[in-house]
Amino acid sequence: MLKLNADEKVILEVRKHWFVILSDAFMMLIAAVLPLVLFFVSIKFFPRLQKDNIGNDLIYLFSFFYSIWLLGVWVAFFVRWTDYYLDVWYITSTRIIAINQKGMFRREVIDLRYEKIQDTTVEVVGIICTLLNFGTIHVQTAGEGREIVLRNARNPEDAKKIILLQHSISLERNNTSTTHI
Amino acid sequence: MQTKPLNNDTSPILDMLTNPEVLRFILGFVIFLFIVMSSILVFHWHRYGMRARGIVIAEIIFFIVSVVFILGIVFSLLFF
Repeated sequence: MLKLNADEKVILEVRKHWFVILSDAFMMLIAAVLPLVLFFVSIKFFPRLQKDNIGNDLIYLFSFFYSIWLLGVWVAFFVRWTDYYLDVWYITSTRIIAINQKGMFRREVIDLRYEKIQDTTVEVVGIICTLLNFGTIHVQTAGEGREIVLRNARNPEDAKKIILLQHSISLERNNTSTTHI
Repeated sequence: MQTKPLNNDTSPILDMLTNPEVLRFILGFVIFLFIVMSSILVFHWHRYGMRARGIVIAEIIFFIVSVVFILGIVFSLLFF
């Protein structure tokens, strides 16, 4: 659960682009259809399978294993989808909360305050990324030399603009409070 | 339980795979694995999904289609 401070609000939610899960879905679709194609091709090329009149039993046996295969592919797709869906950055008024789901049993939640940010870069590589407007956002922190990265993020330039804006607001706020002291 | 002969000159592996008891064991194992995997997924969706609409829709689609596949497995075994 996302816990925000009392005066904090989420300005932008940065997620991975839908193209990422679409390409995964396409791979899964190929994996799902492939045994079916192989089965019918083997029946076509080995007519003995039909001649021996083992037809129905063979089809039910195939259908049994094929349904297991489909169930496996379906679950595998949802494991990928969960990984995709739970990878998210919340850009709030005071910090970036970067949640990185790595498989089913590893999850990283990084809180990064704007004062610590040293540099933000965006990488958009390739024709698909350019056309669909997605890319990698890198945020580097001062001191620790740590970097947080969100690959295949939607509208990375918008996210970068908001991070830089919040960064300068936070610096101004800090300067003002220092001057008053 | 007798092995169902698919052919006159079947291989030992095919013999094993056509044994209804073996198939029932495979079915039980698959359902066990499915319960484990779907519990892990549901745990993640409920714990980290923040009750998002996308998660609820995904959960419904996931279980409906999974039931269809499981029924497919069960009926294939019944008709075999």
